[in-house]
Amino acid sequence: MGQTGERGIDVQTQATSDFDIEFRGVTKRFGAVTAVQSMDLQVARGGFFSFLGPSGCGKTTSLRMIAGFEQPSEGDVLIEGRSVVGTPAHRRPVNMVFQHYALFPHLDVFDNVAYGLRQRRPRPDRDTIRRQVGEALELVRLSGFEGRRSWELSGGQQQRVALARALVNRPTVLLLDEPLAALDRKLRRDMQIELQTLQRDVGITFVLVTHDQEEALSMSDTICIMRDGRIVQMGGARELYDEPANAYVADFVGKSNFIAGTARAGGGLRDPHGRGFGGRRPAGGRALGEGEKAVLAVRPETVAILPDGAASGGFDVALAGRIRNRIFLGEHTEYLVAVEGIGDMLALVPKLAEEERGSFGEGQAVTIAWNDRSALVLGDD
Amino acid sequence: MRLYAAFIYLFLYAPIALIVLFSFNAGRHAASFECCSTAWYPRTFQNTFLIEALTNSLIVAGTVATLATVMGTMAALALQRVRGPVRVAFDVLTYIAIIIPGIVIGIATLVALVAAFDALNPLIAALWPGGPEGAPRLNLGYGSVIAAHTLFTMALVIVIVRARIQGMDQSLIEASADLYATPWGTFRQVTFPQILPAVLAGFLLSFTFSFDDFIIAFFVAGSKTTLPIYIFSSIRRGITPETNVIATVVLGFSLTLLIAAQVLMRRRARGAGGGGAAP
Ligand SMILES: Nc1ncnc2c1ncn2[C@@H]1O[C@H](COP(=O)(O)OP(=O)(O)OP(=O)(O)O)[C@@H](O)[C@H]1O
Ligand SMILES: [Mg+2]
Repeated sequence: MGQTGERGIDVQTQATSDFDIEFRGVTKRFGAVTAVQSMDLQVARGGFFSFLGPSGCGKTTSLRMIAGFEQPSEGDVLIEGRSVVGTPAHRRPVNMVFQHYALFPHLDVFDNVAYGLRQRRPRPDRDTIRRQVGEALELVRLSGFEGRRSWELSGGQQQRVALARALVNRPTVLLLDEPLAALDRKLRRDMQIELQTLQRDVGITFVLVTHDQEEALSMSDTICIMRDGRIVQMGGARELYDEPANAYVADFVGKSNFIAGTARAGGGLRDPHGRGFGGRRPAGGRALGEGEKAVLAVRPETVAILPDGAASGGFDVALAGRIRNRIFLGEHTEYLVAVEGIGDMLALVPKLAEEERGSFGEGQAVTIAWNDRSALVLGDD
Repeated sequence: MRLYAAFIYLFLYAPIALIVLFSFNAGRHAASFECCSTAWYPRTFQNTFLIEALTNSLIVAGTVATLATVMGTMAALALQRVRGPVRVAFDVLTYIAIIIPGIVIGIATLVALVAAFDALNPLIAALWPGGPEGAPRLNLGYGSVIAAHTLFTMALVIVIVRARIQGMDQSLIEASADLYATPWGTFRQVTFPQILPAVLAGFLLSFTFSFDDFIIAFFVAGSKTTLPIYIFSSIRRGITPETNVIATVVLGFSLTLLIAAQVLMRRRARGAGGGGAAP
């Protein structure tokens, strides 16, 4: 096995690309199943990139092609501008944090973290290894745990050992496959913040796989939303939330009310009862033709609830409805309102608005209202 | 019901307990017990025929266990990568090797070896540079016992090691590769430490099997005498306290190895490397 670099992996002195990771027309098939379909993407240096999508959409497969555990059936995967197709995992300058951590049970914490360093040829001396392992454990706040075995650690601690074990190698890219899925909610929240801080401190590109939209939105600079092995939309959290490319994204990122219908040539949407609704197209979306299938998406926090028969208060749309259910969420109350001809609509009423306009009881007749600028007309592709 | 169980255990273990007890006989006759003395122990181990048989058995068992462990482990690792009908075929053949009765293995090996030797010996004699007189003759002996025992015990090792490999977390291997270990490095530092308990258990079971086996050895040992064969022939001359001593020693030895093998096989994946408590 020929060694290329000082670390026994393919290292290069001069980066040849602004992107740490690039996919060019990557397709991956497992027999009859196509897990990833002609995917093109670029991950900027030093960023925090997330793959987000439902189960089975090909997130893990994409990550494993970067790590080198899978080879693409078609297309090219580049790391730092160089094709790594055919390069085995142990010669790629990336490290992975596995979903169930995959800590070596026969080694203690120190030896787990030192594992990557010890594979380098020439092998670093003991003091170097001890110092670097010490620094890595300090980074994840686990100093003093060197002698423990993996089963003597809590889930969160195991997770941090896995992080230290990867980061100690100073990889070009750190890959994380649902690293927080096994943690409870509170710990997950803490680790999200920790991961984000860590990423800024070490300046290494992070690529995260998750099916938790909140996690992806709160941590990443760029989110890649996938469906059935394809990229649906890529962008920052705000962009995906405010300008979803289609109904799938609007549904996946945050919550939305949908009214099905057809597009109107002049903009807006006509529902099956012939009612017209105003709404804008998301930025960058193509214009829809008259009669094309479309949905109107309205975020629940832009929907207001007014007492029945009250003045529409300057809202563009006002519809009669009846409260079906209400859930108190602390800072908000979530109302489910049955609206004639549309079905159930969700409205998120902040505490302040409730104090001003009063709250509503189940079964109460109300008026539900929103403004055209809050509504998006989306294709259902 | 409990009484019934007690009888079964009595029936099973009373003869064994008697043998152990009778090995401490002070008198000359195996059948009448005079308590109690260890006098027969040193006397037994002064018997040169017995010592020779014991040495033969240890050599055979040691070689068999080593060969079976090395080949069985390699086969198990290789089979792990094979899929589909080839894998099924190998699995079936492995289990067949285990369930074939010892007597069949004994006869089959004997017939095969005798036929092979009959064919090869004239050939060697004809080709031997020093003329047919000085030519070596292939014969039954250590080699044939070792071959027959290895055949069976290797299958045993394959099954034990395979179970362990399948129980092993595959992501450990990926993690190792991800951390820049070469395939050989991964084997040395992750796979092998993980399967080591199973490998040792396989070794101990192979050793015990070979050491205790009478049937197969009886067929193929030729002029070599292993311990079970020696005991068998000495019994035909009458049972003496010596026989009981040998039986007791063999029992103790086998039990120790079997218990060690059990302990090793039970050790969970996480404990593969042993203790190492937290500070
Ligand atoms: N080794 C494999 N052999 C066959 N099919 C596979 C293999 N790995 C993945 N697949 C298939 O490829 C598709 C994508 O799988 P992948 O693991 O990438 O999904 P995912 O997005 O990570 O899902 P999850 O959120 O459930 O982990 C699935 O349909 C899966 O069944
Ligand atoms: Mg996955």
